[in-house]
Amino acid sequence: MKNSTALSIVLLFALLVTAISGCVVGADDASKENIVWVGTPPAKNEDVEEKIIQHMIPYAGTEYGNITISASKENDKLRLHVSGVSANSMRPDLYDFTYDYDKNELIRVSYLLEAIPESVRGKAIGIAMQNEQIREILSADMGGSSIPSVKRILPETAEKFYEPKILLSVTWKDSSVSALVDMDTREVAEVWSGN
Amino acid sequence: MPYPDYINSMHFSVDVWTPPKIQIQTPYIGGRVESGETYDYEIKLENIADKDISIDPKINENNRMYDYGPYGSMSAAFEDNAITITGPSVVKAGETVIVNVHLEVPDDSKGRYNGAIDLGIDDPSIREWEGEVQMNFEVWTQPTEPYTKTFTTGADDTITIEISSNPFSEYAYGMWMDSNTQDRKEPSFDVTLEGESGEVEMTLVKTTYSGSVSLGMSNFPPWEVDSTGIYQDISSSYVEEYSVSGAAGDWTLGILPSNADMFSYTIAFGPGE
Repeated sequence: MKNSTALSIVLLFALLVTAISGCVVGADDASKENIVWVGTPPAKNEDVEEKIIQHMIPYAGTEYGNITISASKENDKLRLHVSGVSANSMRPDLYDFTYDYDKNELIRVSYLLEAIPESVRGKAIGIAMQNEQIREILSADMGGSSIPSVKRILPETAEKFYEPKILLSVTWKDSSVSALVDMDTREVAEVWSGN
Repeated sequence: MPYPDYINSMHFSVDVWTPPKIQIQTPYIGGRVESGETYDYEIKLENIADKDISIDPKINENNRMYDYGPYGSMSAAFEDNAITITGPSVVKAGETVIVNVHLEVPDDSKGRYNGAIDLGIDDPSIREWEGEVQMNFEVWTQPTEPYTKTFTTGADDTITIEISSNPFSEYAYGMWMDSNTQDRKEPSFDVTLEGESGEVEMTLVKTTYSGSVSLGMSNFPPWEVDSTGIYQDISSSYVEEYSVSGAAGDWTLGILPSNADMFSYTIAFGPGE
């Protein structure tokens, strides 16, 4: 291999590593600046923040503008309630975690992800309402005039009902009916009725 | 093979990402608006870079239909030309500017308007969604005539009227996170009671706020099991209770709601006919 070729390869690799490093560091710094603790931050709060950021999953193409964390101590663990607000939705994403100080381990206990762009939210509702089964239930129930909730369902849960991908759950609580929507195919994957 | 494979060569691509240089400090504009009224909103943009950046805010044209309803797409409550956008064409380095959004809701509009303002930010680091401000309006027409209900009392007695509405539910977030939260409006009622001898004065004796909250453990779809344990507002209500001493006879109750699209009432008194 010629020396000039080898030098070019080394320079290109250096550029690649620099670019990747800048991407990761830049993302972390931008997220941490927007973290607010309710009350006094707990011990090792920076470690906790870093792990929380790694576990939060904003809607594709968006990022959290503000992250609010509240914590309560339970024996050697922290119970954390986290809210992430995105610029493109009026609803937050909510997460519950526990953090084990001894193991330096963060475990996600629950999530409720409603920070979805309004246009996507509207499309999901429209897809759900074009399902015949959903329409029948809603038309038979006065609650069909209420506005449904739209929540993201993560792949590990979606896999149990359809495929391991992010789906949207459109739920009319008053009517006890819900549609699991695949936004890629614009179809209803599953319908649930609690009546 | 679609691409030739040369000996002693390598292929690679590099995606370089940098944070957006314009911070959009107004995440969303919208809420409930009244037909025939005008509204003004501000979108604040801050340039955190060291060079001037041009912007060109205008309505994203892919929003003419509100994709909602059992029979397919429904038209928006009003046309894009009900919205006027004004603002600077450049955000200087380190500067914060305001893009003004003026909405004139047509008198005859009904339904919803769901769209977005594309800020046209001249910054290659802007990804999808980052250069837009979402808009979501629901057009509301305040009634001008009261709802009336007649009833008959069989004896002189205290008449108790209770009126309740559900003002929050889906709009709780909108009320709190709307950029116009200072205009948040609470429900209220103008209540009248008229008997055979004319209108009587009603006394507001109690106001009650109540709600129901779920931890997602019952009557939820199985795929939402991961939200179990997180408080979810299911419903909330606002109740006004009125009382008046009334003679036996025919009565007419009038209820004119304000900022309430649904309400219920109860009328309690002694033995009637």
